[in-house]
Amino acid sequence: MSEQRIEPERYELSEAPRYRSALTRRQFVGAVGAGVVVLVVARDGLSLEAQEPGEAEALGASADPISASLHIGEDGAVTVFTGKVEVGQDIRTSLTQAVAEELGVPPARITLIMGDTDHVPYDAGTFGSRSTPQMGTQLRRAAAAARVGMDPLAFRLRNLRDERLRAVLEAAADRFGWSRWQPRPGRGIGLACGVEEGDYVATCAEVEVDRASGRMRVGRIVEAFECGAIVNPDGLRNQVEGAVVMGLGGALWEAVEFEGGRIPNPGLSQYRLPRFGDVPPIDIVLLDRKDLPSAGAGETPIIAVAPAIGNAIYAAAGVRLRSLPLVPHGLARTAP
Amino acid sequence: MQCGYCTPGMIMAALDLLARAPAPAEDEVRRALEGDICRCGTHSRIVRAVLRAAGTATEAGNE
Repeated sequence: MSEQRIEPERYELSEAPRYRSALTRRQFVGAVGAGVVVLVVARDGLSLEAQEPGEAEALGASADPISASLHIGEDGAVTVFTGKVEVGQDIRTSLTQAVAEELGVPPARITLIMGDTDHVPYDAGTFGSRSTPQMGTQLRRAAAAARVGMDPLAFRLRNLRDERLRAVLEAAADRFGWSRWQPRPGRGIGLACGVEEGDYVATCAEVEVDRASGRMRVGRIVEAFECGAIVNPDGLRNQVEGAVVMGLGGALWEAVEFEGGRIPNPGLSQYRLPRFGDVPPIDIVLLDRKDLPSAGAGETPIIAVAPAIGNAIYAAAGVRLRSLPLVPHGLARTAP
Repeated sequence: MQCGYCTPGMIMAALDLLARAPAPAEDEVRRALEGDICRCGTHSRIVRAVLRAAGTATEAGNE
């Protein structure tokens, strides 16, 4: 299989949430059990300056002091614990907004426990116009850490209400063996799902990334697709398989380039398409909803391929690529 | 396959491969066709078709 070079300097790198855990994501989810996630995060803030001496040491030298915590229940309800106090300035709303935005959940599912010193971490006080800039930021970090810390499949299944979207997600994850996958260095898996044109799609991808050389390859792709009643199963499978390959090209290489008013890659010898050696094993799961009218299927199966690969790269290497194509200059230009 | 535009080249490449290696492995087929471009994204099926022509298609390759 061909290899491509990631050029992170050309792309936005995401900063991983600043939290510390000796456990991996999967160990963590396993340890807290039953899908309940608790995370604590804190950094540079007034509340930290006033932290009791010795408390940080008691937490262990490598641990950050705690000034906010966040709990995601098995039912998806989010509870936030903060020492800030609501006194009519409406930080209850602004802090809820911060968590809702980061977690992608409706504000109504978030409860704030504020200032109850039996339950919330120590805080020096609610003053000095610090609640939104400091506590808001800390809660964002806690929520971002929770997002990363949760298993992506569990997170989506906990929040998705659309039964058709849940069905393709579960079908793809099941065929892929998502929950049984064993972490290995340099490898990562990612998933994505979406709705378009009345179609439902979910894609899982496994990638291998060598951070030292910057090379990566896509190992396999599983996609589940549902477009109502299936009219022509073989034709549909053909369309979905072709769409996955097209999605692979768009994800990794394809871009019309512009340089000094010219297009330097105007032909198929320069414009990088997926080739035979690039195409990984592709497994397609088709869900047949005979009770629903048929929707078209030619294009929607493309949409989840790039995000699934991007998520897999992030899982493997901690590099968050947010521009397509993810690996713009393929084998021909990067081979030594 | 959807358009068939690239098929003649693939047939010639596959014929050449099978003349040299009557029972190719999947990797060999992929390498032999590497110079052919398919915009329909039918790579997996074309590889299976060549293996079927060679009589070496596996059970999993036949749908």
